[in-house]
Amino acid sequence: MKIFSIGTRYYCKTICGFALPQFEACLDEHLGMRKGSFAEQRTKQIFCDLFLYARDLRQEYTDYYAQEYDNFEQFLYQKELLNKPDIEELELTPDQTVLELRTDLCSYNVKTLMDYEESARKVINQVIEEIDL
Amino acid sequence: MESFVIRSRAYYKGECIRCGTGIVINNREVLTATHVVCGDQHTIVVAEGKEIPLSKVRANDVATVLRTEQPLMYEVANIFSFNEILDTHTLWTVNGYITEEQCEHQMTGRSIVYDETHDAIWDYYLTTIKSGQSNNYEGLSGSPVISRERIVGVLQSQVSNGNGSLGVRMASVGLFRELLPADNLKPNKYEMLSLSESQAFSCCRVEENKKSRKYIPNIFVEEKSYKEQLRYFSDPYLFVKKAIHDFKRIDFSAINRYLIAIARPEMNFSGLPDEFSPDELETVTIMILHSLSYAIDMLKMSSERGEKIDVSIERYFNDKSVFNNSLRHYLENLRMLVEFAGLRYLLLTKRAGQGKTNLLCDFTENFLLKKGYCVWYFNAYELREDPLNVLWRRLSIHGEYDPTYAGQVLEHAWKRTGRPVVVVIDGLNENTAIPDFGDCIYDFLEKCGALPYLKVIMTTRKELLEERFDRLLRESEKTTFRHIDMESSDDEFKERIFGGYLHFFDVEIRWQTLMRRTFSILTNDVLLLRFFCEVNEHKRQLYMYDVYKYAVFEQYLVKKAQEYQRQFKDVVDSKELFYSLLDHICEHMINNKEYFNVPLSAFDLNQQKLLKQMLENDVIFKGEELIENGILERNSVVISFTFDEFRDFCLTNYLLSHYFRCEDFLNFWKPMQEENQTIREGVQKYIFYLSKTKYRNKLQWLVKRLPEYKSLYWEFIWDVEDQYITKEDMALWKEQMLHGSQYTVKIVENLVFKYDCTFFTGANIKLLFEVLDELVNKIDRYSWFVETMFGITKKDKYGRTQHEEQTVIHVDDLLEGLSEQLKDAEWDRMHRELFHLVIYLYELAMPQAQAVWNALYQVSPETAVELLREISGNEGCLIKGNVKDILLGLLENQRGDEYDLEIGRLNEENNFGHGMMDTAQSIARIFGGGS
Repeated sequence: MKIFSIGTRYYCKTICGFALPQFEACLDEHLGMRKGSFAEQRTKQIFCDLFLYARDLRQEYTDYYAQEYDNFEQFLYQKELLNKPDIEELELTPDQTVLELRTDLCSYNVKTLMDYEESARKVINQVIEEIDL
Repeated sequence: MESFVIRSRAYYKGECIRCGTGIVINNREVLTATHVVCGDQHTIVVAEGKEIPLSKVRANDVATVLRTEQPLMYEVANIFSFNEILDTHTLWTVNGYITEEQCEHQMTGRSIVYDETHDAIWDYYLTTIKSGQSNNYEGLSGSPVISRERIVGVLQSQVSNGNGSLGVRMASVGLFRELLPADNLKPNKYEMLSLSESQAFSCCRVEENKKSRKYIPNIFVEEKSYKEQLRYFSDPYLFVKKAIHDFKRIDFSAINRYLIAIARPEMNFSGLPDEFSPDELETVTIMILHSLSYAIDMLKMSSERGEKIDVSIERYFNDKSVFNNSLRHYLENLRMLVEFAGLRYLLLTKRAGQGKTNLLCDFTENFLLKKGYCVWYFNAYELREDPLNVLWRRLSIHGEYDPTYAGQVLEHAWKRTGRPVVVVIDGLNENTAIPDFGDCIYDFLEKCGALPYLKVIMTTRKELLEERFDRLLRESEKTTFRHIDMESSDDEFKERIFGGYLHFFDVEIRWQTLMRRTFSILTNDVLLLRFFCEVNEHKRQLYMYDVYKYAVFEQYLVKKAQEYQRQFKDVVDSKELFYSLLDHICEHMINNKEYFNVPLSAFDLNQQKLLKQMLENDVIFKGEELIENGILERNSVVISFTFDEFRDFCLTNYLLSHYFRCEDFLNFWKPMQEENQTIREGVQKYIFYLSKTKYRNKLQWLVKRLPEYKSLYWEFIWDVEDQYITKEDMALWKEQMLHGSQYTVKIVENLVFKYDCTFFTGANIKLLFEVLDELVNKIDRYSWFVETMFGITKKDKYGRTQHEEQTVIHVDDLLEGLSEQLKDAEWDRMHRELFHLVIYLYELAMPQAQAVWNALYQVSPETAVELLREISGNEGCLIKGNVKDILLGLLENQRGDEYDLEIGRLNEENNFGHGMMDTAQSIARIFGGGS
C-alpha cells in the first residue's frame, strides 16, 4: 500500500475491496500511541481524512465503465488521464486497485499537508507500507 | 405448421384421457399446457404414429415441461418473447392439433387483448378470429400463439362470449417464462432489427469520419466533464444510481452537529433508494436533485452564517473547520451532472476545428455502440428534408414496419431498460440544403417531445450561433434543452492532445527544445496543431523552439494541392484547380471587401465539386447557410475559411501575386489601414513576413517605405525564422540594446531563448553577450541592464510575487530552473550558453549562481571547463572578477581528477585582483605610512 502523486492528485495502490473500517483497525495496531490521547486522535483523523472519500477506481470501472473500456488500464489512461508510463510503473495485478484520494472533500488542511510537507508524506507512507493492505 | 409443434397425449391406466399440443424447446424437452399433463403417463406422437414417453421435469400452474430420454429430431422453438406489443391491432396465428383425432388446425385473427379478470392460467383473449373457427377447440391447448415471428403465449382454454360464439384464451409467455431456458427467449423482432440497422448505420458514419480524419480515435481526450455529462444524459438509469451511491457516501455527521447547535434539522438522505426500476427513474431523479439542492443550500447557509454570528473564538474556528473543504462544490458538480439525466436535447458548441466531431464520434463508438444502444448518427450536411421524416424512414426500416407499432416497441423498450434511442446530429452549421435550418431543428425538437423515448445530441460551431440558431437557444424549454459551450481546456487535456496528435501523425520532436510558448500556441488552437502535424507528418527530430505559422501555412497549402492532385485524377490539373479556387475566393473577398461568406454561386461547376469535397473531408473551409433579410428573405450557401489567420495568409499571397504594380499595392494597403479592415492585422503581418523571407528581394524595398514599417518591424520580426535574420537586423538590435530603448526587453527575450547556437546560427544569445561585453565598461549602464532584465524576484509583504514588466527572466528563476534540470552531459551541453549567461549575472545572486556552477562542474566538468576557458579571454574587469569567484568556488569543491588541475591553471591565469595588493599598499602608504 503506497500513496503517490501524479500531477496535482494523490493516489494509493492497495488491494481490491479496501474498506475504511478495516484500515482504521490496522491503524490502531500500528500507531502505538497512547489510546485516547490528542496525538492519537489527531493522527487517526489525518489518515481518515485521507481515505474517507477515496474513489476505488477499479470498483468504479467495474460498476459503471466496464462496457466502455476494454480493461482497467485503458480506463485509467483514457478517463482518468493517467499517463501510460505512470500506469505501467504501478504494475497492477488483477487483485489490486488504485484509490484516488479526495482529501479536499474532508479538509483543505490535509491537502495542504500533502502538498507542502514532504516529511509528513514520508511518515504517512511509512505507516501505510507497514500496514500493507 | 411449424415443425416444433407436436402432438401430446396423457394416459391414465393405459387409456388416453387428454390430447393436446406441445412445443419442442430443446432436443429432449417439450412444453405444453399444465392441464393437458393430467395422467400417470405422457407421450408425444412422432413420425408414423409412434409415441415416445415423457416425464415431467418442471412446471407451474400455466405450463409444464416434459422430458424424453431419446433426442427429438424436431426444430427447436427459440422465438419465445415477452416484449411484444399485444393490443387490438395485433395479428396472430395458432397452429396445433385439434380434437381427439389430433388433426392439424390453424387459426388466424386480429386482436390480443389483456383481461383484468384473468385467472392464474391465462391472461389474454384472442379475439376477432378470421379463420379456423370451430365448435370445439379441444386439443389445441398448449399450441403456440405466434405474432410477428414470435411465440407470445400458449393456448389455454376456450370460452363462449356474450354472443354465444366460441373464443380462445392464452397464457402469455410472461406467465411461464421461468420454465424456459434463456436460449429460447428472443427480443422483439423489430427491436432487434432497429438495433442492428441503427448500429450499422451509425458505425458506417463513424468509419467515414475516421477515413476522412475528421475523427481520429487515438487523439480523443476526455476533456473536463463533457463526456460524463453525455453519459448521464444517455444512460440516466445507471448514472443516477452512481450519483445516489456517491451522495450517500457523504458523512454529514459533523455538519449535522453544527445544524443541531443552530436549531436546524439534521440532514439524512438514507431514504434515497439504492435500487429502483427504470419506470421509477423520473421520480428518483427528482428526489436526488431535491436532496442535493437541500444539502447545498444548508452548506451554503451554514458556512455564511458562521461569518456573521458572534461566538467565542474557539467555537468560531471549530465551526469553520467543519466547512473548510470542497464538499459544497463537489455536490454542486454532482447536481449539475444529475440534471443531465432529465434532459432530452443537448447542443454542444465550440470554435471551428477544435474537436466536436471527435467527441461525438468517440461517444458514439465507445459508449453508445459498445453498450448496445439504438443510435442514429447523422451528419447535418447530409439532411435534405425534415430530420423527423428521415428518422421515421429509418425507424420504420424503410416502411417495413408501421411507425405507430415501431414507436410502441421503442417506448416499451425504453420503459423496460431506461435507455433512450439516441439521435446524434453533427455539425448543424454545415447544413446548406434546408432553408431556415435553425427553425427546422427547433420544429424537429418540438415534435420529438411526443416521443419520450428519444434523446437528441447536436453539435455546431460557435461562430454565427446566435444568428442561425437564436430561436433554438431562446425558446427551447429549459427543463429539456441544454446548450453546452465547450470552451477553455485544462492543462491535462492540452498535454494529452498534444502528445496524441504527434503520435498519430508520427511526428517526432526534440522534446528538450519545446518551449512553453510554443506548446501554448499549439494547444490553445487545436486546428493549428492539426495543421502543424499534417505538415510535419512522419518527420523526425523537429526543433520546437518556436512555431512559425506562415511556414506551416505555406507547407500546408503545398501538401493539400498535392493531395487533391492525387485524389482528383479525372480532373485535368486539379492542383491548379485548387490554387485557382483559392485565388477566386480571395479575389471575391478583396473586390467586395467582405472577408467571410463567399457565395457558392460565385464558383464554376468544377470548383464547386472540389469545394464540396473539401467541405466534407477537410478543415480549411466551412460551409454555412446565410439568411439575408431584405424585402424578401433569401437564403444562400456561403463559404468561409475556418482559420482566420490562414485566410489572411491566402489573401496576402493573392495580393502579392496579382498586384504587380507598386501603386496597385498601395491602393489596396492605404484603405486597408485607414478603414481598419478585419484582415488588416493578418495581412500586414504576413506582408512583412514575406518581405523578410520569400519575396525579400522584390518586396522589402517597398515595405520599408511604408509609414507603418517601423511598428510592423518591431511587432512582427519575432515571427521570422532565424535563417532570415540579417546582419543588418542584428546590428539594429545591438544598437537598441546598447541604448536601452523601448525594444530592449523584447530583443533580450528573443535572444535569451535562442541559447542553442547550433540551431540558431544567426541571431542568438551570443549577440546578447556582445552587448553585455560592451556595457561592462560602463558599470552603471551594465548594472541597470542586468538588474532590469534579470533582477531577483520581488515579493510584497504578503509574500506574493511582483511581476516586473521589464524583466525578461528573474535570475533566481533561471538558476532554480538550471539546478533542477542539469542532470546529464547532453542536456548541459545543449544549455551551455545559459550557464555562460549566469557568469554575467553572477553578482545578482552569488550563492545560488555558485551553487549552479558547482553542480555543473560535478555533473558535466567538460562543459564547465570549456566554458570557463572560453570566457577567461574576456577582458571586462567585472566578468573577470565573476569568473575568479567561480573558479575559487570550484576549487573548494574539487572532483579529485584532472579537471581540478585545469581549474587551478585557469585560476592562476585569471589576474583579477592581482594589482589589488599593490594598490592597497599604496593607499596604506598615503594614509598611514606603513608598508
